[in-house]
Amino acid sequence: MAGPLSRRPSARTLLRISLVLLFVMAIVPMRFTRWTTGFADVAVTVSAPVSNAIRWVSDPLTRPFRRSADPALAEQYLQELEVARQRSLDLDLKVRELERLVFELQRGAELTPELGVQQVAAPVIGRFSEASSSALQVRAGAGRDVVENAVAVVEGLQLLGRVERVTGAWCVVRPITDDAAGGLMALVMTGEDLDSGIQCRLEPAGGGRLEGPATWVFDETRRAPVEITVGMTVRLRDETWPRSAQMLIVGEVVEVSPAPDEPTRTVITVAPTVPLQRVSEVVLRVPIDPQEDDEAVGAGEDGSP
Amino acid sequence: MNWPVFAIIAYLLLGLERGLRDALAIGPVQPSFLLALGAYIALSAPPMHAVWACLVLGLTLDLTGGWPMLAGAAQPLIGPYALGAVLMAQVILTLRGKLVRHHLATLSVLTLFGVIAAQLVVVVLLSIQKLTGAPVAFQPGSELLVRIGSAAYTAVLALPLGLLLIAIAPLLGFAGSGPRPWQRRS
Repeated sequence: MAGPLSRRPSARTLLRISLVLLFVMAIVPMRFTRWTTGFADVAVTVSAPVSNAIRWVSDPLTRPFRRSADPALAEQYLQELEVARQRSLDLDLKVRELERLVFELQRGAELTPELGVQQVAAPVIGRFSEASSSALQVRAGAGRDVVENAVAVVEGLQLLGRVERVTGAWCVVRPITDDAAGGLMALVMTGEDLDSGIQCRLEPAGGGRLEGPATWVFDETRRAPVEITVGMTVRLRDETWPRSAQMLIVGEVVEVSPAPDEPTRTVITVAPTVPLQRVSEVVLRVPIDPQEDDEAVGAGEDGSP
Repeated sequence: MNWPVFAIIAYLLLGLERGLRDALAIGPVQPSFLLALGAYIALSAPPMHAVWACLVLGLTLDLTGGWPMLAGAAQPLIGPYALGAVLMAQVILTLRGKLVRHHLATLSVLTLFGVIAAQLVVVVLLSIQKLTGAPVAFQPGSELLVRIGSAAYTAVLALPLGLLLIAIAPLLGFAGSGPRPWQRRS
């Protein structure tokens, strides 16, 4: 008679199911079976009393018969230790690189937090070194939302240049020091606030530098012209550049000389804070709404030279 | 088969397995008390009982073992020893009818073949894990040699252990069916 017991799976069926389950668990990637660690801990804990007791008894008995450490095994352990040490140092290096990247991204974001830009960090994968050009090929393209005219910076605040061309996987960045980059308007920061900036027009001068005349400014309170000195920071203030690029660092004044045709005016030479031709990684400041980023310059306060 | 007695013996042998691991090790080669018990059960118990008992013993080894990883703590992997022990049971069940079953040497020889079969399963499954990218510290070639050595060591261990197990065979419910080292085959 068929009762409830007859519908229960037989031992053979249960065994087949168990074997299939065990096989699946044995070949499934180990990251999916980490939950079994809890069961293993229980099993080890349950076996601990008797195994510890046996070890406690056997250790003193077997100690005199134990051989000293095998030199070959010790050598192998030393090699493994060295490999582990090298791996640890390598990881430390990676952590430091990532920390530096986070720091740079944060510095850029702090400068213009209100701007709708996303920052895309990307390595430089090549250089277009023609006679008069040294554009950089950067591994970030339309696939990462990079658009033409996006601003490229290095070390957070140093202006590198603009994206000139974009493909699906990479883009071309023209550094501001490149001969083909054209000139730009900037402010020599003689003080902390915006009003203390002296306008200047800078052109690539070769050798990774920019050069151009600075506006003559008279300080009414001191009754003397404002002087530009070596070491002053120069920041971008140019309407033809996107809003997100304004006030980024162009470089530092490295030389001040009188203009050849007009001795009352000065010509300054500016060098970027890092050699722009040799950067290995850049941060692209990609506008979330490119149109808004471009329009914002024209709508901004009158800071044009 | 008396399952409660089997559980107690398995528990005690698990303690020996874990407690004497370092003391009995010859280099990387270590014997297995639990697989030796499994071999004895496979030689003495009814087929279905033998397979289940070996599965439980293998599962215990899986749970209490843990595989060393290239980075981080050892992680258990459920399956290799359990499936290996089942294959060991099948090998011994197949061979036991063709050999002088009631002899201690038979237990030792069948332990050797059975444990080699079990270790082959373990090596194959761990190799699959390694091939699929698991960061397990496992070299199939050298591991197989070590495990064959462990099988031989376990076969030697089965001789004294077999004497004890035969002595308590009636408690396990194997009276009259298990190996009897002092008797000729009837």
